Amino acid sequence: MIDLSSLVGLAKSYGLYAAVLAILLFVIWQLARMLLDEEKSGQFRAAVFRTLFSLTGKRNHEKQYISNDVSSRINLARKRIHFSSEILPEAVRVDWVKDSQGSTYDINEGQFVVCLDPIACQEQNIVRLTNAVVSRTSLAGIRHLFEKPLVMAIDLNLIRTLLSLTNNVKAMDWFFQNEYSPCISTDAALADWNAKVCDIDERGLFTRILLVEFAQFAKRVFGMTPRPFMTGEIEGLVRFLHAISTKRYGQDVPLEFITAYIKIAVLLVADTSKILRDGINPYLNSIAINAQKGVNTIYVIIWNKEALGARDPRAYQEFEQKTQLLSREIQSKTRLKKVGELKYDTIDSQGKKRKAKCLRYLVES
Amino acid sequence: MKNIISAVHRAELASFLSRVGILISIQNGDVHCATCGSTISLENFGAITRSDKELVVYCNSLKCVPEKSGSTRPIEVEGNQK
Repeated sequence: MIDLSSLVGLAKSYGLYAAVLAILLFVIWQLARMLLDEEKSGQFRAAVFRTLFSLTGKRNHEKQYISNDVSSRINLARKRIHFSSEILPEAVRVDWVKDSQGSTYDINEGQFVVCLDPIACQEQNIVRLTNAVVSRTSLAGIRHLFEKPLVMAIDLNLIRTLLSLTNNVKAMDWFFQNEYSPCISTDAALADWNAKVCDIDERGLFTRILLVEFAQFAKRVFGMTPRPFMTGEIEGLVRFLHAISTKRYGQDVPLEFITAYIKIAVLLVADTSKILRDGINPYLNSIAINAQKGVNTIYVIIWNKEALGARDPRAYQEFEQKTQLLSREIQSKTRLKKVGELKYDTIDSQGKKRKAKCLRYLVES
Repeated sequence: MKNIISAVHRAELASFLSRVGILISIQNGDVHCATCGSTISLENFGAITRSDKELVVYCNSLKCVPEKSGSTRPIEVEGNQK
């Protein structure tokens, strides 16, 4: 970034033209960055068409604003929630149907034409398109294996997650008021699954584990005849992660979920006294045991101990050192390959906001 | 690769449906949402797709939007179009 003092220094040393040139280069650099990023340039185009529409009132400008604004918002949001090598759900592009009077229009097989409202209802357009993207591109290949209430609970929470990242308060309000709350209040089975998915999401495991594992599951069962046990695996995974998400201090819950097509383990580094007292060996042993059991993915969840830092800085420092050592030892002493690491904010079982880290490892055979 | 979604502006909906060949059916209240069964009007029209060569219409409720393969409750098209 260019700051004022460096510009003044430049002007003093090399003259005013050098400072102007530096500003110009900076502007060109920023413009190039924006234009190279399709979504950011989409937001820029949306702003231009909005201005044009307010000046001219032409419907074509309004349509260009609507489509650029909504698709760039959704696509930028989805980039921020991905964890694995693939981004979930897919990116979206909105193409307007040409309005030509008199001629017939033939809708192609699989073509999906959605009706969007005028600019004054843009929040509804954002929600509608987000919903279309989620329901048409997430859980691809396994959607038919889900019971309707569970798939709706997952869709609603993925829409909510995406909307929260679009930075459009009106869209979020509209969604909660007109879609989310009415759906939950009229369907008991949906409300039950939704409560579970919300708990999983509050602990940060919805997009980082549940959706990632569903994507992996979809690849494994692709092309297979749907079987009832597959639905059981899906629901079992939700219940497994829900038990971990609602685990109270000192409570034992299963930390492995091994079925025909989903084989994962979760390692929680949350108990400060345990890692300080026993060191990292129990965690490494647990990884070795899980690898022997046939687990193919291990997630390590590390809870940050900021509160401990204020109370006992020495213990906090030791905790930090041990967790860093654990990450290094996993890489060097086990058959695990790290494929992802994300830091995030979460809410603990006491309702306190905390920082956490989720590391994803594949067990190499 | 991006998932392409076609869009029609609400103000151009009647003209679009006329070109598709289902405007009169909708105005007569003969078209129903393929998911929830509610009668489709110009006000609550949500989306349209073609599945197994048949046109399928959905209302604007979020829970009625289909997955990519679409659900099938085809509607009759006026005239001799598909």
